[in-house]
Amino acid sequence: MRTFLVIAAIVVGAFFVISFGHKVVTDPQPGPGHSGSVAVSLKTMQTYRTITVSPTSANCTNYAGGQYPNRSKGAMGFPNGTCQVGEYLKGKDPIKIRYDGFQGYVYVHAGWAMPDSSTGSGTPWHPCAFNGHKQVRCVGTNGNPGEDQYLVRNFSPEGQPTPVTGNNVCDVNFRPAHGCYASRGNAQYEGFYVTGPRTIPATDTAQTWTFWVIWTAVPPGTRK
Amino acid sequence: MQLRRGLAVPPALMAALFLVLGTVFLVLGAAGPAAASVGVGIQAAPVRLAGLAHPGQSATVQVFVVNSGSQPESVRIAVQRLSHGQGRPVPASWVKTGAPIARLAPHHAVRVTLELAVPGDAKPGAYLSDVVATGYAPASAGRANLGAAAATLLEFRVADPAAAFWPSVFRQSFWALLIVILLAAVALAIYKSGLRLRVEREPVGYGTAEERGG
Repeated sequence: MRTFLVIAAIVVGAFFVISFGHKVVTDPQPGPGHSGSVAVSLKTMQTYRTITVSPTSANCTNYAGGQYPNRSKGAMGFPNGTCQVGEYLKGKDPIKIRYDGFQGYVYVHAGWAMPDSSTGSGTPWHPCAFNGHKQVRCVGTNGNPGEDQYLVRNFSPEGQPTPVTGNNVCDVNFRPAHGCYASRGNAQYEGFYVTGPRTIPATDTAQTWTFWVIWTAVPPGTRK
Repeated sequence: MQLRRGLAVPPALMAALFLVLGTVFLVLGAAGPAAASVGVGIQAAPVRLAGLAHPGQSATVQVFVVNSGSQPESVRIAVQRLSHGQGRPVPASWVKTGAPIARLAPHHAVRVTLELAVPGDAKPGAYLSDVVATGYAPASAGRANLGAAAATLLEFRVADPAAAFWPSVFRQSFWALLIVILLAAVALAIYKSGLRLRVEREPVGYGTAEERGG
C-alpha cells in the first residue's frame, strides 16, 4: 500500500509540474541563434477616399412664398417661404462636389437649421421630406414642412429636385445614371431649394438661421 | 523727328495690342480667384482589430484623415453605420476618440487613435460600422454652409467568452492529462505485477562527544 502511495505521489507531482510549468516551457523566447537579420523599410502610397466641396458656403437667394404680411423678397416668409441656391430650370448649379480615391458612394444629408444667437433665440428646424419614416416626414399641409421643420431639395443638371433629410442617404443627383456610385475624379455641380417651416414658436426671436448640407464619401460595403 | 517717327505706333498694331490685352483681362476677370473648398479624406483600407475583441476589454485602432480642402478646417470623428454588410452595428458609445475635433491645415493628414471599449455584456459575433470624418470650414451665419465627410469601414469580431474558455482549458491540459493517465497506467501495472518498492529509514546518529572532538 505504501508503494502505491509513493507512486501516486510521483504521478500527482508530475501532473503539477507539467500543468504549471506549461507556460514556462512554451514561452516563445527568442533563442541566441547564429543568424543575422537586416531591417528593411519601404514606403507605400497612402490611399484615401476623399470628397471636396466648393464653395464652403452659399447665399440662399430669390426669397418667395409666405402670406401677407409675412412675406418678403429679402427674407424667408411664413408659412413655407422659399429660397434657393442655384436655379434648376436655368441650369445654375453653383456647388461643385468632387469625389476622389477608391470607388464608393456619395451620400448627402442636411443638418438642423440653427438660430444665430447674435440675432435672438429660437428653436432649431429639423430637415424633413415628403415621404418616408414619420420621424423625417414633413407634417405641414400638402407635404410642406410643419412647425420647426424645413425642406432641402438638391438638384443637378442630370437629376431632379430630391429631398435631403437628416439621414445620410445616397445622393441620387450625383450620378443619376449610376445611382450614387462614384469613382476617382467624378464630379457634379449641384444646387438646392429650401422651404421654410409653416410656423415657428412665437417666442423665437432669431432672424438669421444657419444650416449645413454635407456630402459624404462612403465605402462600397462588404460582401461576406 | 527721326526719333518720334521711330516711336510712332501704327494704328493697326495699337488696335491689336488693345484687343490682346482686353482679352487677357476679360479671361482673368471671368475666372477670378479659385473658390474656397472644404474637403476631407479618410483611409480607404478598413479599420480592423488585430485579433478578436474580448468583452470587458479595450483595444486601440488608428485611422488616417486628410484635409483635401483649400483652407484650414475642423475635422470631427464619429462612428456611424452607413455601409451595407453583415454584422451588428457598432454602438457609438463603444468608441472614444482622444480629441473629438482635430484642426487640420490644407492637404495635411493626421493619424487619429480610437479606443474601442467592448462592454462585458457585448454579444459575440461580427460587428460592422463606419468611421466617419466630417470636415467643417468656419460657419458663415445666415448662409447655407457646405460640408464634406468621408467614411471607411470599421469591422471586428467579439469573442464568445463561453466558447473561448473550454477550448483553451482543454488545449492547455490535454498533454498534462495524457501524461498523467500514462503514469497512472504504469503505476497500476507495477502494482499489479507484485513489484514492491521498500523505503527504509536508517537511524541517524549524532555521535558521541569524543567523536566530535569534545
